[in-house]
Amino acid sequence: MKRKKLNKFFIYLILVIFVLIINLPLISMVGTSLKAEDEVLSTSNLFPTKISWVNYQTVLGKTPFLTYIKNSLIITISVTIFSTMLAVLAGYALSRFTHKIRVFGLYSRLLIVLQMFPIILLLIPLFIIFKSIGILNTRLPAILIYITITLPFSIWLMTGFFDGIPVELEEAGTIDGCSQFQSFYLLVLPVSSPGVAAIAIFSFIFCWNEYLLASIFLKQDNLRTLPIGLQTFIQQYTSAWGSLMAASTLTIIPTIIFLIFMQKYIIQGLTAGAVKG
Amino acid sequence: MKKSLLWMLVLVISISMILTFSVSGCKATKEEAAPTEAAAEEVEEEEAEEAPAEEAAPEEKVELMFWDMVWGPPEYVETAERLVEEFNEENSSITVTYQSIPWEGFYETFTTAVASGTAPDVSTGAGYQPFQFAVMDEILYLDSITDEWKAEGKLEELFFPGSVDSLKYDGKQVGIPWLTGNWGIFYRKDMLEKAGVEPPRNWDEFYEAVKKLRKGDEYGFVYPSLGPVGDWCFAYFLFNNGGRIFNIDKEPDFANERNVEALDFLRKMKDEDLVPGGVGSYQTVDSEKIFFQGKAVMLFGSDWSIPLIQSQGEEFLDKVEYLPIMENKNGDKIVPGGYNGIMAYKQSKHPEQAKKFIKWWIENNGDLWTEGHSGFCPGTKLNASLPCITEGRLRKAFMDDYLPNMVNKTYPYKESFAEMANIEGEMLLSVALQRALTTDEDSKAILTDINEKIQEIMSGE
Amino acid sequence: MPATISIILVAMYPFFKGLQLSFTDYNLLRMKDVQFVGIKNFINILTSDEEFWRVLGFTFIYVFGTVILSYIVGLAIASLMNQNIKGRSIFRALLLIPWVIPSVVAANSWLWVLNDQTGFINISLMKLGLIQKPLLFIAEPAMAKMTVIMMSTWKSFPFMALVLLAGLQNIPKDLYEAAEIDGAGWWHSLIYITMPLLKPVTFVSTILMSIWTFNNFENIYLLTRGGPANVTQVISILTYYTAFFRNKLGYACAISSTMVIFMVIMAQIYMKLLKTSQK
Repeated sequence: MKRKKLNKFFIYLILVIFVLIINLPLISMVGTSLKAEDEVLSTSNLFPTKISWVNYQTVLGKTPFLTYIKNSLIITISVTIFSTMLAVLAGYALSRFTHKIRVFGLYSRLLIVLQMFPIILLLIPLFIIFKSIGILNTRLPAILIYITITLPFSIWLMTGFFDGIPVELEEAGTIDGCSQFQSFYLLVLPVSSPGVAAIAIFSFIFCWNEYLLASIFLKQDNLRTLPIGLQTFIQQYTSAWGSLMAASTLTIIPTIIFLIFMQKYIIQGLTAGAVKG
Repeated sequence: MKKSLLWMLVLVISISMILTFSVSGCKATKEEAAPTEAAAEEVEEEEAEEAPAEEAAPEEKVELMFWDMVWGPPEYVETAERLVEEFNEENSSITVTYQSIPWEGFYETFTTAVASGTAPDVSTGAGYQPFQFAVMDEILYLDSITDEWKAEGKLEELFFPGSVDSLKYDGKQVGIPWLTGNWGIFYRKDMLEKAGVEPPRNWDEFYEAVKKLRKGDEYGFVYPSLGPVGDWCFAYFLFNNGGRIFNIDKEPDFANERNVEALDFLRKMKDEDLVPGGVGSYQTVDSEKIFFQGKAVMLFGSDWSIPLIQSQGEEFLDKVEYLPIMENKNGDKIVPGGYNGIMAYKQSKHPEQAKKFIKWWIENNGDLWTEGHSGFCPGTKLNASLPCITEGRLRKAFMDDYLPNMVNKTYPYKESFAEMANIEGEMLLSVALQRALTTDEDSKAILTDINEKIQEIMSGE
Repeated sequence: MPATISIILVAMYPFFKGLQLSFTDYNLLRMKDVQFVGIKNFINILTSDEEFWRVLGFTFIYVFGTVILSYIVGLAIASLMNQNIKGRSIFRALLLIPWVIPSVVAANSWLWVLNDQTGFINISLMKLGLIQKPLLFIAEPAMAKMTVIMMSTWKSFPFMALVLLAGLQNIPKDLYEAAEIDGAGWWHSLIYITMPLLKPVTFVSTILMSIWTFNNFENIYLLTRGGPANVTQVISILTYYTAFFRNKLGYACAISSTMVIFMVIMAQIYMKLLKTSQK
């Protein structure tokens, strides 16, 4: 019994040390964001001698930070919803029909191969395409590209997840007189809700932090997302470090809250999904 | 199940081969892009012809897009937006939209926009940007603006001598100078006095001073070597030593004796532990932190370091002094630098209005310093005479000393050229400096190697 | 499903466009005059591009290092998180934070902490008397290589930890209990129970992580800009330079296409190895 207690203590100790080391940059970031202007560069302490909110005032008062948050939310949420929906449908199809149709198995591998080409080289052709469709100054291009980037992982995860759900479930449904879609909708989907939550979180985190594509396709002030907003504090050769750190702290707060509340779903989702590969 | 990835790849490649090789496939994609461009050009031409007519009928609203880089703290953007607003009020027939562009990845932003026919009408940008787009034939020539100023007799009172010509490519005006970046050394007066050292006036004195100032965890000098400022730092020392990157015929001459000397000089200080050991990897903020924490007496910085020094408080500010440019062996004072331009693009449908806006902007943008607190020095004589510039002790010392001695990085070749943007982009100078600071390679060998790379860039292959 | 088919078209377009550009001399300075040059780009890359091969060497070390390290760290953390302890969800969230910190901030915060004169780590170690001279984390070439691999690991292990944790939770607890009764130690159960059962997860997560690490550009660029003296240059930075600073977009696409072929072959070998080890 005693040994067990000691074990527990060690686990906690290791966890705490891990958390501290891993979050050193986070600590430094929050610490710096609370430093007054004259202290940001002139001390090597992680924390300020006197807490100052001036950086937060700059961020909220002098930049349209709230607009950025709004834009980030609009884009992230719409991508998350669409990408999740598509992944659920595609994952279901892949899981249930693979054995009948070879093409589907190929398709899931194709998704991985397609990811290998760096998108940065293709900005110009992409841009021209979106221009010719005439949707340039909207959120659509970014949303479309984000969906295609997050899809492969989501589909892979959902396929595995559905693989883990016995086919008997739907067969039972069919016997009870449900159509295929009904049995999917009424029986399979509720069981797989953790998986759905998991891929939603993956998409959310990706979209929330993406900079490169956002900087090209969301140039206009009223469309800008948070990662572009952070760049307001970075000049050619120097940066407003205090404000940058404050803005970053504000940026990651929503994701952290999201993580704390949703991580149990991620884990459930992956448990049933990923393992089957 | 193991429908292999390799198989997949063969499929993928064969499809793409078919796409590429089949003439129709290739042509189709090419034409797909080409007509849009051609169409855009046609539209431009038509618009250009219509332009005078539009002026005759001022009720017609003209919309211009102005992309401005982030040249200062958050209040800079606020001020710039307000100035654009002012212009719009004064000119009811033109509406300019202000768009602030982040530095991170700005080059992709501009190239994708230009390549796809959605370039802004007017923009600011990096130093050699107008030359790059001039090579692509995308820059609108602005000679008519300078001609107007000449006719109004304003050219001399507006601009520093030589600054307007420095933004000419093939004899044509590709940009109008409005801002300049200066580089130099700051020192702590109090620490120098305490050690009984006079401010050094040449490299020998500098070396002696740094040696005397070294004690415990205090270093005599600190500078960045990584990133764009590292690039400028080495440029500063090699030009200061009478070195150069190109010779007068535009041929790369990076491995010359003077450059080797400059590199050896920086290297010697590192090898003798006179500068911090990690200097080979410092970015700007590293060296600034060391300076602000009193661990270094001298700092390689720039005009935009001045707001930072001010932010450390009055007391600290009073202790910091600008070190005038040191003399080289020939008794010359040379430093590298250049003017940043505001430019317009050929794609613009309203070139006349774009020029009008640029002219107005140059004559009326002083608030970018008084209220926008840009850290850079103004690139016009007009704004250099603003009280906020002339009354700042450090800034005044900086500008008075720097501008008369400043040469372009392409010096002694007479003009700037686009390839310099690529050399800056890959930060080849800073790579040379880092190699000297972190490896045992021979300085001459390093510079010869980099010289080959510059040659490669110049040959365009 | 029609939706998936339309999406795959959007996803495929860039890929094929990229392959197609590989066979051209697309140059940003001469955008209106693009010539088809056949396999010239590929021949150049494979036969005469010394820089490519030099950079490729470190890229492989970097990708393997990152994937292997993040796998090990991820597994360790996943095992810890799998323990039934109080405050588990808080710990889990805290351990996942590196994933959500914006890269600009992460890179700069690390640089501040790692600095040899003013960095928290060096100051602490010096005060504790553990080191005499500051560690030059990024100013010394060999050390810099290790540092960028560490940083990249730091950014990628949360993903690994999550996926592996999921795998761990699926392993029946009684297997371990049985092993313990048979007198198998911690190491034995790791090798004979955990690893084999994690194999499917391992496969896909390492493949995905390799691709992501390979194509990631900002992790290294923000930290060292490929320096000091280009020793931490990787293929993604080289392609970026080639495309945008040397203006040779066609050539850059060819480099990327070459790398896609490399990666597919590697994945193939990897799959074969996994298969043989299974027998």
